Order: sequence, then C-alpha cells, then structure tokens
Amino acid sequence: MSSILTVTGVTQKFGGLCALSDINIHIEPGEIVGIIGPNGAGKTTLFNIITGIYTPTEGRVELDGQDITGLKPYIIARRGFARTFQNIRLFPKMSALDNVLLGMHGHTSANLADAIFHTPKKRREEAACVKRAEEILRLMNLWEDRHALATSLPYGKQRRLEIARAMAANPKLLLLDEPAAGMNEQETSELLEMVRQLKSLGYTVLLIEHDMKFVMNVCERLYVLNYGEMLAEGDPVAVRNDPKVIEAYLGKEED
Amino acid sequence: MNRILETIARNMVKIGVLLVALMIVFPWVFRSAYVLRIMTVCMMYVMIALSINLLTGFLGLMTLGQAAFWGIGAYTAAILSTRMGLGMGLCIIASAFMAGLLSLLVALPTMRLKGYFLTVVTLGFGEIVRLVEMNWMDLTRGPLGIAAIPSPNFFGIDLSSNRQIYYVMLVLVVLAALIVHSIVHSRVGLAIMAIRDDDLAAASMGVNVTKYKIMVFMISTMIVGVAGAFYAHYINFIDPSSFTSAASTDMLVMAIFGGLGSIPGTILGASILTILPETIRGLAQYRNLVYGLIIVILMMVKPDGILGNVNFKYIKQRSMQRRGEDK
Repeated sequence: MSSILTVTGVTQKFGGLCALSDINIHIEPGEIVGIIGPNGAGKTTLFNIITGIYTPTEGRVELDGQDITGLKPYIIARRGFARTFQNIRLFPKMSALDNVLLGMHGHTSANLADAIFHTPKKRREEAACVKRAEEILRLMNLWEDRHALATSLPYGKQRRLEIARAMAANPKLLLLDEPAAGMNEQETSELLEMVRQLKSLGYTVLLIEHDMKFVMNVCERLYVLNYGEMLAEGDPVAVRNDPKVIEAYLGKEED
Repeated sequence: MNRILETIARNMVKIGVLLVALMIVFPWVFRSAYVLRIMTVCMMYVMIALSINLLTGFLGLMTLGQAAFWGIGAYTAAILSTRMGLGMGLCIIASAFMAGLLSLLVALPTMRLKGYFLTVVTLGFGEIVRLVEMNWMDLTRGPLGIAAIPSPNFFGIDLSSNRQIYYVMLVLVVLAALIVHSIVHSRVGLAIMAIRDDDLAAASMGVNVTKYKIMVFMISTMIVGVAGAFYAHYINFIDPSSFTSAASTDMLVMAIFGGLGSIPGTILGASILTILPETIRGLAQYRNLVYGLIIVILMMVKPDGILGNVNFKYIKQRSMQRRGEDK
C-alpha cells in the first residue's frame, strides 16, 4: 500500500443532513484523478474533509499511510496536501510573486529572530524561495505579471496563480477545486495543457470539475458523487458508459 | 504622481537614512525646549502607531486597547523605578516583558475569535486594566498616580536633559521601526499579511494562524509597553487618566490616518496628528474642530489613509521590471 491518499468510510453529517455517506477513495502516486457529480453532490465537502477544514463524522483519511483525520488544516498542508478553491482565494493585497512565496511557508523555517536580525539563514532561505517561485511563475506563464497585485490579474491568470501557489508547497497531492470554472474555451484548453504538464512534472492531482470534456480529457480515473454517495468509479470511458451515471448526471445533459 | 512615488520607492533606503540623520541634527538646530518636547512626544506616538500598524495594518486585527498596554508598560516602569530603584534600561525590558505576558494571557483564550469580536475583547481588556489602575491602591496608588518617577538614565548615566531624552526616544523609535520593517519583509511578514487577506487560504498553505496571531499581538504590545516605560520616565508622573479607551482610539486613528499596512504612512500619520494640534494652537477653542475636520476630510478623500494603498516594495519591483533591471 503506497497510496498517497486513502479515504475510508467517510461520512459527514451537518445536523440532520447527510452530506457524504461511506465514501472510499484512493489516489496512487502520479495519477490524475477527477471527482465529478452534480451541484450539491458533496465534492467540495470531500475536499474540505481531506484538507482538514471539516473533521468527518465517521471514517478515516490517510496520507501516505498515516492517519491525518481531524488534524488542523495547516498541519495537513505541511504534511503534503495543497489545494485551490472553488471561488479563488488569493491574497488580494499581495503580489503574484508573494502569493507563490507564501505557498512555500510550510517547508521554510526562518523564524521571527531570523527576520529581525537578518541572519544568513534567512537570506539564504529567501533567495532559494524566490528562485523557486520564479521558476514556477515562468512555468505557469505568469512571469510578466509577477509583481502585479493578485486581484488585478484577469480571471484565468488568477486561477493559474492559485495553482502556482499550491505547486510552491511542493505537495504530494495537489487538490484542484473546479480549476476550469468560469473559464472560456481558450483558457480551458490552456489549463488542460498545464494540468498535463503537472503530470509530466511528477505531481499527483485530484480535481473536482464540472466541465465533462475537461475531465474526460485529462483524468485517468474518475469518481462520481451524487447526493453524497459514491455512484461509480473507474476510467473515463467506463464511467461515461455507466447507466447509473448517465441517469444521474450525463443523461440530463443529453436531454 | 506615479513618478514621484516611483522615485520615492527606489530611494527608500536613502530617504530613511536621511530622515534619521536629520532627526539626529535636529536638536542642535532647534534648541527650544518646547519644540524638543513636541518632537519627543511625536516620536513616541510614531512608535505607538507602528505597534498598532503591525497588529491592525499587517495582521488585520483592529485593536481598541493599545493604551492599556501602554499603561501597563508605564506602570511597570513607574513601580519598579520608584520602589526598587531600577534604572530605565531594566525598566524598559521589564515593561516589554509585562506587556507581552499580559497580552499572551489575553490572546490565548481569544485569538480564535475573528474581526470585530477581538476588537471588543481589546476594548474590554482596556477597561479592566484602567479599573485595576484606579483601584489597586497598594500597587498603583489609584487616582493619586505615581509621582517622582526618575528621569531617563542608562545604567547610572543621567539622561535627563531635553536633548538627551530626545535621543533616547529617537533610538527607541528607530529600533521599533527596524523591527516592524524586518518582520513585515520576511517569511513571517508574508504569513501575517496572508492571514489578514484570507485566513482560511493561509491555513491551507501551511500557516499556523493562531500562533502568528498570538505572536504579533505580543510583539505589538511589547513595543507599546516600551513606549509606556519611556513615557513614565519622561513625564515623571502617571495616573490612570492617561490610559483610557479614548487614548486607544486616538492611537488607532493615527495608524489609520497614515495608512494601514504602510510603515512610511504610519510615521507620516502619527507625526502629522501630533504636530498639527500644536501648530494650530492659535485657534484656541476651535483647535479640536479643525483637527476633527482634517480627519473627516482625509477619510472622505482617501479612506485608506495617506499611504494606505501605496506599497513601495511593489512600486519598486514593478519599476525595476519595467526597466529590465531585475536579472
């Protein structure tokens, strides 16, 4: 068992509402896995459980075989999960470069005293971080905008910057919450290229997406959620042909 | 306007050094005791406003209790120096320690609170501190205040002339500015600003939000505690009427007026708001009216304060990028 992420029997109840029931998923290194499902199916709730924002009512979440259920988000982030958000959550008053630098927070260690006394350690660490951040910004095609305020960027670039920030954390698993949401055709196909590039760079990706074409094009394996239950799982072709999925989700589109 | 800002941004270090140099020369040019006192008080308020800006401008945590920690610093220094004969150097350290310790006690149970809830906590704490100062007769002598606090001295060396006091304050304010600047321009500073901008996203990127909130709250109150210790030694007499929530509000106004999240703005804002009332002294009873009007007008024209949305670091970086100077 060398799964990067294992979710076992996760159930999440909000009061009387059962948002997720008995969910099992696993992600292997190097995979690109998608979670799809209609609105309100519980996809983002599952992300929030994996990243520690919610503690599940029942079930376990494991990272590299270690139980991380109920740990605080910042600890889970440091252990190796980095995410983006459905509604972009960049740091608006910080530049693109600083947003990416912040992504490295979990694996840098210069503390307050280092900052106040400008120790060699602080300077060395900072120089290394800036270099790495610049690499990522070039890779994500944001180099020209590195000193612009995050919120002054056009929508598509903001989405990319959020991914860049998550990449900066050098995560074992990159969780992308609807990365193509609100993007036009052009931006979506650019994003598609970038996600493929992430795979070639060795990242493991779990993504939530509404855009079926996008998911079918990029994911190797899919999980389908509906009303908080796991409806189907498998490779995109199998999922596409699953009658239950067609009924619950794809069928509606074909009407 | 942009060009002016760009020039300032590119020469920030020079401007800072020049400003300090001018402040060093100042007491030899202006010898009047009155002017020196105004400048000394002005620098003290710059230091206080810097502490507030770190907490409110960079961490995004509005405080209405800063005068309480100022008072804690002042009382610590007053009590230690009058009863135990401690010198100012040790009193300053003790004041920083006391302010930090008490802020830790306030912070531990409350730092999970967000936004205005925490503001209310600081307001409440300020009132508690004032009531303790008023009523703990044995320790603080209540409304009688503590008199005959020794003038500034440093390990036996007397520093009680106006000019010497001025230099003591100059050293303190420069140190405070350097500390705040170093924190802000570091990995820790990025984390702090990330918490201000979006604490959930910051946590998701590995930032320990609670730890940083407590840490910044402590540093901020320690800085203002030191300013309090200075104040006690400078004024020689303190009583609870100085450390009210009205004083806290005045301090917060200075930081907001100059621009939250801007160190040059804070220096400018606190200086203007301490020197201005002196320059319009001739208006007698209309003084407060004019003072109030100026604040209202600035907030209408520039709600972010004088330099609130001016980030010199980014202006400089963009300017260098445009000219192709960065690698």
